[in-house]
Amino acid sequence: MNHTPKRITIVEDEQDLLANYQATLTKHGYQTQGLTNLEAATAAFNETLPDLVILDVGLGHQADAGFQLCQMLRQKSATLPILMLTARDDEIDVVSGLRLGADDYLSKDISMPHLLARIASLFRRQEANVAQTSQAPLEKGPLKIMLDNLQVFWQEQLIELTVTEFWMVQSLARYPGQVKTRDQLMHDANVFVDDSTITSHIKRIRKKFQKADPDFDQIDTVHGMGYRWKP
Amino acid sequence: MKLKWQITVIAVLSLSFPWVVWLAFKSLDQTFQTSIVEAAQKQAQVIVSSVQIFNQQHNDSLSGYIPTALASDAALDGADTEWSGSPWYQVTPRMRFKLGQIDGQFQLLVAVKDDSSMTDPTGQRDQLIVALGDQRGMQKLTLNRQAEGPVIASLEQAAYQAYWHETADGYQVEIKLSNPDLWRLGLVAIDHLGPNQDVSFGHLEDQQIQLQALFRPASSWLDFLAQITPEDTEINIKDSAGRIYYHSSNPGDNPASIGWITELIYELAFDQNLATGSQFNGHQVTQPFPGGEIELLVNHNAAQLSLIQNFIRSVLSIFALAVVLLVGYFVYALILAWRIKRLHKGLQSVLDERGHISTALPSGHAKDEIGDLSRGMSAMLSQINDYTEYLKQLGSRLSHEMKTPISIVNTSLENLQMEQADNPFVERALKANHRLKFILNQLSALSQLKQVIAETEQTTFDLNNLLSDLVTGYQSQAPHLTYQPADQAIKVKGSPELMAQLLDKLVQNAIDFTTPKDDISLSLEKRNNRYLLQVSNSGSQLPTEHAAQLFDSLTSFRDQRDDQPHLGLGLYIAQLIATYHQAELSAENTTTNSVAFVLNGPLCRDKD
Repeated sequence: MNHTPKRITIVEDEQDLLANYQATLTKHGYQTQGLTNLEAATAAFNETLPDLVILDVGLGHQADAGFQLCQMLRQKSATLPILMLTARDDEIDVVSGLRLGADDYLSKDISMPHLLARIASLFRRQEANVAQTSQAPLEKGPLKIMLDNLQVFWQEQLIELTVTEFWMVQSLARYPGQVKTRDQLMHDANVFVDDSTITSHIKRIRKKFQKADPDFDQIDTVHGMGYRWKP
Repeated sequence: MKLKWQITVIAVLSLSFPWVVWLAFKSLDQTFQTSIVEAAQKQAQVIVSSVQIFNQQHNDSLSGYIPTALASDAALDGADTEWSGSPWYQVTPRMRFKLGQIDGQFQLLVAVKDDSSMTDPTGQRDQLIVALGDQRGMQKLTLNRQAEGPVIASLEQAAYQAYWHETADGYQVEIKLSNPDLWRLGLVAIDHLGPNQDVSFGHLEDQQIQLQALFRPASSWLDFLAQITPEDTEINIKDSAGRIYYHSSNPGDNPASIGWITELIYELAFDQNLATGSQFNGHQVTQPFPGGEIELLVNHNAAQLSLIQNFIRSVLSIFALAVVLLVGYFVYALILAWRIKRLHKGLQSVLDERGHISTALPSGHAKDEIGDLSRGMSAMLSQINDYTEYLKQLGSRLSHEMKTPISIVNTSLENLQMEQADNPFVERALKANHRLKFILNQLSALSQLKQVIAETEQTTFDLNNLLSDLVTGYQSQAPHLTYQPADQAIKVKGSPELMAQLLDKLVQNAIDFTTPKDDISLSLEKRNNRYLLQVSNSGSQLPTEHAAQLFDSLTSFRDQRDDQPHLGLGLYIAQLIATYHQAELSAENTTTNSVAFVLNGPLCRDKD
């Protein structure tokens, strides 16, 4: 805990859920601000930016208000950590397809400890960026994993991974050739989702790498078991 | 009975209408013809009486031998082939003759029964004597019996030519006479039986040749007959053997000649008795009179012919109409049956391979009942489609809608737990909420999978290869798993990812039900055009009473309760994927306390 508490703004239209998030975060030493609609959020963000933003995708009847806010925020600040909460699994695909620049996408039913861990890691990534402190990067051939600012490079190109995806790549690539089960990946990435969500995460990771290198084929599916990074 | 046959039967029944019309016309024609015949018979009666009276007045001049006209090229050969139209005159039981005429010249064919041939050239022999009478007097020709061949006439008798022909029981002589105005004739045959012993027969009376008169037509008769012959009628006066004494005809207004086709149609459609001659041109009536018969040929006059032609025309046009109607009915039946068949086919192929319902059916724009039926079915299908779509999305919608309240419960409980770390109620509530979340995730995963199945493109892959790859992974998890691969590539159409998922489920199922002491065996083999993939394990049995529901969703027959709830979606998903591959998934208890799951699917048909 820092002596100056971090300010977190939560935009969530469900009052009760918002109150619960706020209660949890406050209890853990964060200063929170709760906003329930697009207009209030826009006004607030125009005034001042917090240290981290948690966005719900759908606000009231505006199904994509979260996307608009995310875009606006990214224009205002390139480094502000943005965490998006989605109610529907397929929204993750939509969100990542839009390349809005959110730092992570989490399912709304994430447990509080997981959410706290995720927030902590986002702050860590930000601080590492700012401080330029260098923990030794993990290098496996053309893959370079910057553990301090949670960045991944493939053939010297930055791959824009969300935090969840970063942890998965890190978990797979740390021991190439070893099969990681879905459970292990979930554990390493600090998410609690079903198998098919892990499958779609892996798919997205492959796509992001393939965007930088069309020949990318490092992640093997081992049917019945999980995935492995090719040695 | 097929629809087109039903309509065909009705169409054929509709032919009964022209049939009744035809019967009516036929009986009309019959009455008409009968009245003509009756009138002709009365006429013939009248003519017979006047002919008899005229005959009596003219000394019975209807008598004498009538020469029949012969073909001009008739050969003189003793045979009777060219004489077939001429009846015999029987003189005695042993002698008969025929009389003919060619170009005004008389010709005789005499047949004599005499099976004792006497041909002694110097002495006695059989003889045929022909006596001829004309106005100048009498001439006697004597022909001696001889061998087959032309008769050489003696010099004074040169006015004839003859040919001798021996038959089985006698002889036959053909004689061509040269005197044109012959009016009497006598024939005598002498049969020599032995020396000074002979028999004569023929026109004989007291051993004298009796000359018989030939018939000579009289102009008074011809005039008389011309007077009494009615219009459109022919009269033939014949002797008892049918030789014609007199012929007279009165053509009247010569009716326009009528084509043979019309006559043929009349014969087929109207003639009651096809065995008798044609009634088309008229009728023939015969009336006997002493010494012969009178034949009356009554021809149809122009009015009668046109009436008959009208009959034919009416019947023909009604039949033509009926045939056109019949063909029309049949074509209509075919079209109707074809449309219904097409609708039926369309309905059968409404569900495509991937489970999409196509709502477009044939005949959808038709304004008739079949169109209504098609539209009704389309509407029903689209309702089913909507409902299916709704059901498909229900899982994900439900999980989406429930996610927020569950999140509120969860975050509330978690906050509560932070304050009261050892409250058992909070603990239990969190556990239950955790399960609820899991169930929701499973349901949404299932609906996602259904969507993935619907969207996955089919490719061809080698199941044998895929299985070998998978088994390596499985064996690291379950060392008690053995694998028996197929001895050749098994090309299958579908998705290798989905197939792997299916196998994951089956193998996971087997692992869950076994301990490392049991066996799990996997085998793949080709059988005809299909493949059989079997996953069997020992150590467990299927609940036989629930066998039918084994592959249903949300059905689980597991005894042990893990900390993770089990929804029984595994085998349901496996079944979904099997269906996508057009394969059948079945399960059975094998005898030795073990269970086998069998996937039976088609091989890829492509040659390449």
